[in-house]
Amino acid sequence: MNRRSLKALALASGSSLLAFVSIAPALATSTERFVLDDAASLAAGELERTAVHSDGRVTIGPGIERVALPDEVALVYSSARAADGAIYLGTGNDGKIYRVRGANVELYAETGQLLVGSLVLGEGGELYAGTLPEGRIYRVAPDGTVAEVARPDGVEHVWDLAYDARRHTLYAATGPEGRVYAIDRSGHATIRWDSTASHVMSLALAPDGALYAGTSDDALVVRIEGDRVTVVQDFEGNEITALALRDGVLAVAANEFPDPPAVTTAHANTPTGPAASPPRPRPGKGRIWRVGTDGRAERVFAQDAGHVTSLAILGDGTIVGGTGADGRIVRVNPDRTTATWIDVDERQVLDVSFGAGPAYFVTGDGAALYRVTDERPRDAIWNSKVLDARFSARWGELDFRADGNLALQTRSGNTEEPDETWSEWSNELTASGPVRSPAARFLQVRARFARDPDATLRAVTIYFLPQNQRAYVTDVRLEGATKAVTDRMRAERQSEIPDASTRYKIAWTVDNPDGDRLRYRLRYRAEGQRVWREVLRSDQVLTDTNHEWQTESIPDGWYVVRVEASDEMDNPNALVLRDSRDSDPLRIDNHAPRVEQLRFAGTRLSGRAVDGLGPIARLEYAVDGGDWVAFFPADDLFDTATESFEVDLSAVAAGEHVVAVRASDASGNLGSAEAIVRR
Amino acid sequence: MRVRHGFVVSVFAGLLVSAVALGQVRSAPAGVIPVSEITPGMRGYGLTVFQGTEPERFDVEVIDVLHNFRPDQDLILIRTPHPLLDRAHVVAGMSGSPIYLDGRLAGAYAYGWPFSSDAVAGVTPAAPMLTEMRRPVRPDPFAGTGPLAARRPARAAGPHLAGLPAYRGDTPVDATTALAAHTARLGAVRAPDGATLRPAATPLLLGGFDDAVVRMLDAQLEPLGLMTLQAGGAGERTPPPNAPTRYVDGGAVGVQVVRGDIASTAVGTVTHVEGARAVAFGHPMIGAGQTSLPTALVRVLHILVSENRSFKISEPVRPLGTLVHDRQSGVVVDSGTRAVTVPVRLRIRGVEGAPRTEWNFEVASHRVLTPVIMNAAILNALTATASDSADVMYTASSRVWVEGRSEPVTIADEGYSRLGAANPLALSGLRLFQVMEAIYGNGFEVARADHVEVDLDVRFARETVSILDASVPADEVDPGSTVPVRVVLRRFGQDEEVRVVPVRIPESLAGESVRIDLQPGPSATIEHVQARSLDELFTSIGERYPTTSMVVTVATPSRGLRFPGHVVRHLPRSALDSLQLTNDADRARPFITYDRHEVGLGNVVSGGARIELTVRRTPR
Repeated sequence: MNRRSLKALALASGSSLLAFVSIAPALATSTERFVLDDAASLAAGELERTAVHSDGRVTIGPGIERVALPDEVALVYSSARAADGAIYLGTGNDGKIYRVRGANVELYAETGQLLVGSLVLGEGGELYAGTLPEGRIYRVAPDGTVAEVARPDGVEHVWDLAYDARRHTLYAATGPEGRVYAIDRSGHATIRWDSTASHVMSLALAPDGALYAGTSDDALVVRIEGDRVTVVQDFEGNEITALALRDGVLAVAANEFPDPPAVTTAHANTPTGPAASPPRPRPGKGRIWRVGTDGRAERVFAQDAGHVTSLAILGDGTIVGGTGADGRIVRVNPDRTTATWIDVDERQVLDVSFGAGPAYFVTGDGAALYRVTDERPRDAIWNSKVLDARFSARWGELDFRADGNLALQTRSGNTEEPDETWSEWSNELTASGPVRSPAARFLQVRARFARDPDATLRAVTIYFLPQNQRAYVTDVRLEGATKAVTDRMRAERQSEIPDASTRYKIAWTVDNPDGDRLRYRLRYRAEGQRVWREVLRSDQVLTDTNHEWQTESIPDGWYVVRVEASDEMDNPNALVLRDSRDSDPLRIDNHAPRVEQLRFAGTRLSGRAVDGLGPIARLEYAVDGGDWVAFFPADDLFDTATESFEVDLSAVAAGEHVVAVRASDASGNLGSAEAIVRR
Repeated sequence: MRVRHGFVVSVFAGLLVSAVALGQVRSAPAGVIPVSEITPGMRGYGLTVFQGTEPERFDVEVIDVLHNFRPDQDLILIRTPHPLLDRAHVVAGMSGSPIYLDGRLAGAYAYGWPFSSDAVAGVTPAAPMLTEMRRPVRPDPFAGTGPLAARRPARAAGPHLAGLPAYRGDTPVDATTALAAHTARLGAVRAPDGATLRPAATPLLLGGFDDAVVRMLDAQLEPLGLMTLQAGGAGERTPPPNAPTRYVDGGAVGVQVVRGDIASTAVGTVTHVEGARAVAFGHPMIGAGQTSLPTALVRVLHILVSENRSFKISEPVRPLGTLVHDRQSGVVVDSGTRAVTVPVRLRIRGVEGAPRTEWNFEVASHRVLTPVIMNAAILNALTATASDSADVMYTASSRVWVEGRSEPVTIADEGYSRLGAANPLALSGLRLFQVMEAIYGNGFEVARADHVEVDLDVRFARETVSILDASVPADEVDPGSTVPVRVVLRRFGQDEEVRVVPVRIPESLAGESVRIDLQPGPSATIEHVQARSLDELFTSIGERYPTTSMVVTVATPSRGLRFPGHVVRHLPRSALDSLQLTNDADRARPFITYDRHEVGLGNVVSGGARIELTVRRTPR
C-alpha cells in the first residue's frame, strides 16, 4: 500500500499547535481520500458566519454586520465606545478619527498624524487619541475640536492609552524609549515606568488603580502600583500586543515575530521608475495566556501562523482574541476549549470590544467596523480549503457526518484559486453521495446551514482516484569498482586500470511523480543483437534503484543494460504504466590475457600478450621474483588486443634467471608466463 | 473578370491613398514640390544669410533622394556649388536654409557629413516641416510660456520634458542630471564618424564666458548637437534701428539660451514663414518636443571657413517670439508669444579687489538647459572673480522665487574646495540645482522659477576637520549602556585632538553585533517623507545635516516606514505588519532605523571611521 505524504493545511487550533488535512490511501488500490475531521482541517477554509470548535465541530457562528469606511482609510488601528453607544475609530494613514452611530459613519476629528494608535474616553465625553509618528496625544472635545494635550520628550509612538477616572489621570504606553507616562489634566506628563524595552505596547487598568503594561522587543508584563513595578511574567516571544483585565483575570497576547525582511535600495523609489515592491513581514506566532487571580499563567491558545492583536474578556471568563494574519476572532472558553469563532475577509482584526455593550471589532488591510449581533445568521456557510489531489482526479463519494439538515456542495477546477474556469457549485447533497463535480486537480466543498441553523458538521471525507502518473527512468549508470565504460570524450590514462571483477553495480534514477511503488526489471543484450535477456529471475521483485550484476557466465564483449520501471504494484493492470531506459554500452571482460611465445636471444626477451577483448593495458616483468618493472610493447602503444614486446635484460647479471612477464587487459584481468634465461 | 480586376486595382489605389495620407508621400502644400517629383540632376537654389540680415541665393543640384532616412521622412541629397560653400562644405548655422526646386520649396538644408570634402548636404523635405509648423501648442504645457493657468491639482501637471521621469526628491541631483537623462534618452551620444550623416551642427555662440567654462559647456552640450563657439552671442542691449522686425524665409534666427552679462544664442536659418509662425533648422535643436525658449532675429557677421568646422559668426539683434516646437523635422518659432525667462542675480563676496562682484542674466526656462547654464554662469563668474587655485571655503545662499509663492525657497550650502572656488565639482552639487529640478520636474504641479538670487561668500582659507580614527574601550558592550566613543580628529594646521562622543547602545541590540559609523553630515542619509506636494519636496531638499557636523550612526534592527507626508521610525513588528498593506506596498516603503547623534565641529568635516561591537545578550 502506497503511503502518501501528508499536507499541512491549516494551523488554527486550540491547544494542538499543528493539524493536518490528510490525503489518505483508502481501501481500494490507488483510491485516495481527503479527510477533514478535526479543528485544524475544518478551519483551514473560509468561514462565512460559521464557527469551528476545537473538538472538530462546525456550527453556525455569531451574526455580524459590516460597516464600511471611506475608501481612503487604510486601517482601523484603535477604537473606543462612548456611553451613548457611539464608536470612535482611530485610523491610518491620515490620522483621522471617525465616529460611527448606527450605520452612520462620519469624520469626527483630524490629527494630521499618520496613525491614531490608541483611543480612550476620558471624562465628560472627551476622547483622548495617541498618535504616531510624532508621539502627540490629543484631546478631542465632544464637538470634535482637537487640542494637543502632551508630547512627551523622545516619544514617537503612543500605542495604548488608559484613563483612570478616579485619579483624573491619563496613562500612555509609548515607544521607542519604552515608557509609560502619566498625564494630568493640565497635560503635564511624568514617567511612571521607564522600561528597558523599546516599546510599551499595551495597558490594562485594574479597578484598584494598578496598571498592567506589556512590552516589545521583549515580552514582559508588569504591574505598576504607585512607584512599585513588579514583573507579572516574562513571556515567551518578543511582543505583548494586548492585555485585557476582568474580575482579576488578566489575558495576555504574547507573540513571537521573526526578524523583519531585509531592506534594499531597490525598495526605494528611483528617479527612473517605480520601485520594486518591498517584501512583507512574515507572520508571527500568536499565544494567549491567562493569568489567574492566583498569579498562575497558563497558555490557553496558540497558533503559529499569525499573531494575536487584541483581546477582550467576557463576563463568563471567555477570552476573545483578534488575529493578525487571517482576519479571525478566536474564543477561549472557560473550560479551555477554543473555537475559530468569526472569519472576515480583511487580513487583520486589530481591535476587539466584547465587554459591556454590544460587541464589535475593527479591521486593517481593508478597513471596516463589524458589529456582532444577537441575530442568528440566515445563510451560514462553511467552506473547505481548496483540496489538492496533486494530479487530475476522478471524484468518488462525498461522505460526511453531521447532525441536522445540512446541504453540501462541491466545485472543481485546475487552478489553485477558484476562478471562472472552475465548475459551478454542484447540486446540494443532503446525505452522503457521489461528488458531481467534473474531474480536475482541485476540489472545494462547502456546507450550508440555511435549512437548519442548529445543525453541526463533524467530518467530511471525499474519495478520489488520481490519474496514474508514469514513472520515468532518467539515468542509468555503473557505480563503484566496475569495468565501466568511461566517458569516451575524456582522455584516459591506460595505466588507470580497474581491479578485475565480474560484479557490476548498476544504478538508476527515477522521476516518480505520484510516488507509486515501483518494480524494476533489468535486461541486457550484446551490442548488435536484438534479443534482450533477463538479468533477474522472473520471481525476483526488485524495488531498489540499484543492482549488482554477476557476469561470470557472460561472454566477453560489449553489452547494453535496459532498466524498466513499472508501477504495477500500486495500480490495476489496465492502468499500469511503464518506462525504460538503456545504459551506455559497457564492456564485460572476465578473461585474462595470455603471455606467450617467450623467447630469449642475446640480451633481449621477446614474446606477445594476447587478450580476447582487449586492449592490453599494461606489461611488466620481474627477474627472479623481484619487483615488477613496467615496459612498453614494441610499438609503444597499448591499443590492441595483441601486443608484441621485447625486453632488454642487458642489465641483468650473468647467469641463469627466471624472468616472469605479466599482462593486464583494460578490465584489470591479469595473465602471466615465465621463461628461464641464461646470460 | 474585368470587374474583379478593377476591384483589386481600386483596393490597391485605396491603400495607396491611405499611405499617402499617413506616410511620407503626403500631398505637398501649394508652392511645395513633393519629394516624388524630385529627380537627380534637378537644379535650383537655396537662401541663406552670408552676411548681415538679408538672405542671398546659392545654387543647388539634386544628387538623389534617400528614402525613409528618418521615420516617415525622406532626405534629399544636394550639391551646393558656391565659391564659399565649396571651401566650407557644411556650415553650422545654415541649418534650415530653404531649398527651392522648380520654383517651389523643396525643404531645408539640414544634414551633412562631418568630414566630407564635398559640398554635399541633406535636405529635410518641406512637407513634414510645414506640418510641424501648423501643429497647435497645448495651453501652458511647460514652465516657460506666458501666464500660467490656475494651479493644477497634484498629479495632473502637464508634461515636463518628454521621457524624463518626475522628480521625487529621493536622490540628489546636480546641474547636469537632467541633461544626462535627456541625452541618454535621445541616444544622442555618438562617436564622431565621418560616414554618419548628422544634422548640420547648431552653433551655440557664447559671449562673456571664460575659456575653461566654454570647454565644459562644449563637453556637456555636444551630445545634443550644439557646437559651442566663443564668438559673441550677446548682441547689443537695444536693437539697432535697422534691425529687421520679422522673420523671413532664409533669414537667420537665434534661440537665446541666456542673455545679459553672459549670453548664449543657438543660430540657424528660417525655412519658411507663415503668419506668426516660422519653421527653421530642418532638424531638432535638442529634441525637447513642445517647449518654450526665447528666440531672436540674428545678424550674420561672417562665415568663418575652417577645415575643422565652418560656422556663421553672428549675434542677435532683436528678441522676437518663442521656440514652441523642437521636433524631428525642425523647430517652430511663434512670433506672437514671448517666452518667460528666469532672471538670475549672482553676487560674489569675500574677494577683495575683484573687478566685478555682481552678475545679472536671464536664463531660458527649461528643465535641462536652465541648470546647466546657471552652473556655467556661476562657475564663469567665479573664474572671472576668484580664479585662484587655492583652498577656498564657500557658502552659497540660494533663494529661488517660485511663481505663485510669496516666500522664496532658501537653501544654504557650505563647503570647501582645495582647487579654488571655480571648481565645477564643488559647485554643480549645490542644492540650488535640486530645487530647480524640483520646480521643473516635480510630479505635483506646473511650477516656474520666477527669479533666482545666489550669494556666494568665499574665503581663502582651509577650515576643515578630518575624522581620522575612532575607538571604544571594549569590543563587547552591554545592551542599554552608553559607550564612550573616542574620536581622533585633525583640524587643518593643528595637532590631532580627541573628542569623546557618548553613544547609547539600544537594548534591542542585545545579542547582536552593532556597527557605529562616524561620517560627515551630508553623508548621513536622512529618511525623508514621500513628498505629497512641491512644498514638501522643497522641505525634503532642505533637510540635511550640515557639512560642519559629524554624525554618529548606530544601525538598529528595527524598521521604519516612509509614507506620503510621514516618516515613522522604530516600529515594533506588529505595527510594521499592520502598516504595510498587502496590495499597497508602494505607499509604505521600509527602511532600517538608525539612531543618529549630531556633533557640531565648527569646520567642514571630511573622512570617517567605523567601529564594530558585540552587544552582550544580557548586561553583565
